[in-house]
Amino acid sequence: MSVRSAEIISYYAGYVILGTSLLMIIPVVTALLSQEWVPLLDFTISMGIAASLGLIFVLLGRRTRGQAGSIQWKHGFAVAALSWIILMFLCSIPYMLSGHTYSYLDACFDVMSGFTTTGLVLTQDLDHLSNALNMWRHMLTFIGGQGMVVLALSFIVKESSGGYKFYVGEGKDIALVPNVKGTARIIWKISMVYFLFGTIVLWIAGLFIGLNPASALLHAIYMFESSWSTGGFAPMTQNIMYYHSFLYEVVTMVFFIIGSFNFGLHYAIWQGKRKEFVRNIEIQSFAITAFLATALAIAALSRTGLYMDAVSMFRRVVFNVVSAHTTTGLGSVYARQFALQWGDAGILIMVIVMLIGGSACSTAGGFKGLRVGIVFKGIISDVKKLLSSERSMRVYKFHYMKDIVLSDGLVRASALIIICYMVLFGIGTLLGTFCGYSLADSSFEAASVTGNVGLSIGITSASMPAVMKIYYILAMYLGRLEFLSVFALIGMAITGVKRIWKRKRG
Amino acid sequence: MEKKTRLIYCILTVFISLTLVGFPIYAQEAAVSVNELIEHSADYNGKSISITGEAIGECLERGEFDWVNISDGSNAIGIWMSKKDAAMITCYGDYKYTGDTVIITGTFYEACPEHGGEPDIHCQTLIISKVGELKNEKIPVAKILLAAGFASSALFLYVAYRQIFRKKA
Amino acid sequence: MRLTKMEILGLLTEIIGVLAFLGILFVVTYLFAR
Repeated sequence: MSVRSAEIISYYAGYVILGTSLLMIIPVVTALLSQEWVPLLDFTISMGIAASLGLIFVLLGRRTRGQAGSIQWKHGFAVAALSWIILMFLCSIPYMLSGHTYSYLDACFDVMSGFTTTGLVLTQDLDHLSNALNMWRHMLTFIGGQGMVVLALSFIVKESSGGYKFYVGEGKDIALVPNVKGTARIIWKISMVYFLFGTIVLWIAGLFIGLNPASALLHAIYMFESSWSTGGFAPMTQNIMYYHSFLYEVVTMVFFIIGSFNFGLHYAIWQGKRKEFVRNIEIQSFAITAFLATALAIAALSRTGLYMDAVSMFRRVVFNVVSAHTTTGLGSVYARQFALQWGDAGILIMVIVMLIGGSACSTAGGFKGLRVGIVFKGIISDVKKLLSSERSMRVYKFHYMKDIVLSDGLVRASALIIICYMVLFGIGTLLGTFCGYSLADSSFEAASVTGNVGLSIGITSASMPAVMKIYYILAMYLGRLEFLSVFALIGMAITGVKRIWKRKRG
Repeated sequence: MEKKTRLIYCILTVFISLTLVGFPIYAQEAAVSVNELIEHSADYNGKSISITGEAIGECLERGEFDWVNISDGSNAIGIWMSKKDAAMITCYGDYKYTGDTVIITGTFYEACPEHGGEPDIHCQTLIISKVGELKNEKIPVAKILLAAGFASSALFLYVAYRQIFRKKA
Repeated sequence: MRLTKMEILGLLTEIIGVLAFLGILFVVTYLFAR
């Protein structure tokens, strides 16, 4: 890594860190309004540290200003990957100060879980958490879902010519409009409109189910952020069971399903291309797999005799299957119930849908329906090519915002990323079994981590071995950034180390 | 009646009275933890059990009956209880308050058919064993100093930032 | 930021579309949960 590259990365990463640190003003205001004095101090301290560090990074890379042309793809990836790691350490400071986490590792785990919209929790005693910290936790999923880089790009970074490279580094590749700043702003607009609409709907629902106006509003904000970002956090230990409400479950379901869709799809539909909703390959893929998985899960759970009516079956089985498939992670049963009541078939169905995940360029995780669709169509077209005469040259297409040719390169790229996810999943499962957990439990938890889902079968807990906590953090991170950024960052770091080593020897 | 017989009847009456008074207290099953209920839900399903825990959040009113969520440190679960019972709880736990500690005796359902298959407890008797209270929020001086310190450093760096970038422009 | 009529229609399309999907899933649940 040349000095120039380090400065470029430092400059932009600094802005991303600064931007995110400024968001801490929201929990500060929440603490003030709730008269929570210690959390007020906790967040002031955290904000001070984070803003200071962000500014230092920008200043270290100050020569980059006005030199936007020198940004390359590797820089974009590295900035995304690096900012996420540094922000993980910074955003966990409030957790540590609150005393609700047993260790700094646990705090980092929760932050990475939030950023990646996973939703696994190591924070203790959620029921007595301050409003400020609960606001922060849920905000993290909202920010992480949109993307911290996207956030910085839209509002802070002045130059936008190199912007696209950062944008892709954070796992999005859809260009809604030709310039990146415009695309980022559109993504934020859609999210904010839904945020307003969703919070109001949930607030009303909350009042209806018996919450008092103030908590109904707070819970509405938390649960909307958690649903839209497909995060899966909830302000109480019982997750969505706290509300004891079919209405609340359905409303969150609507928002987490919509939240799992591609932003390009939202944009297309909002521009009037409503047909896209049914023609899009990802929607079709999701509808088919969700439908099949639901049917199979219901069949498997029927045999237990636990849920005798359609409403119970829908609330306890369909909710969780769809929550898993969209990689949300809101759970309507206790973690241990998956282990004790769902049986191997039920667990396997969940593992599969968690790995398939949601749509590309959305807050969802997993392989992504687009890749599954592409690979599936790739197999079909290969079979067709085999069977058809050698002289015919058919071009196979699929529809994703527009008609796209099913090229070999595309199929290969999709398949390779799916393989990367499978490896991540495999290692996670292996690690779990090595640490003494059963195969079913290990695979469930590994799938939840790899797909950034957040449902737990009971393995994730403060007493989990540290090596598993560290692996899960890495897996959530790699899964969310879809590998490339992290590989780029590692690659650049290794090159940099090699250069320094050579210089010392020569 | 003979004096001896009267004495025996007296003692018997006292004994029976004491038993009748003491019965509700002694008839409670040993309190079980919520995690224990979930772990062995099939065994406890439909049985009368007793749990001890803190009332958290708030009471969710649903007409004649209410939901009160109880946390016992191991986990939390919803209790379906009558309005009258719920009215006995005055303090709910959150950041500022420790809620009332209650002893609930009721029927546990691992997948309550009345409530969409949710694991819950239908309350039969509710006893407030300890009233909740406002927690003492001590503000550490160290945090005040750290907050002031880091806020200052951020401001200082921002000023430096403005200076340096003004020069470049 | 202004919200155009087309955008509102788009929002409603998505919500109704998803509700319809959930409705279908509920029917499937009803049929299978015997």
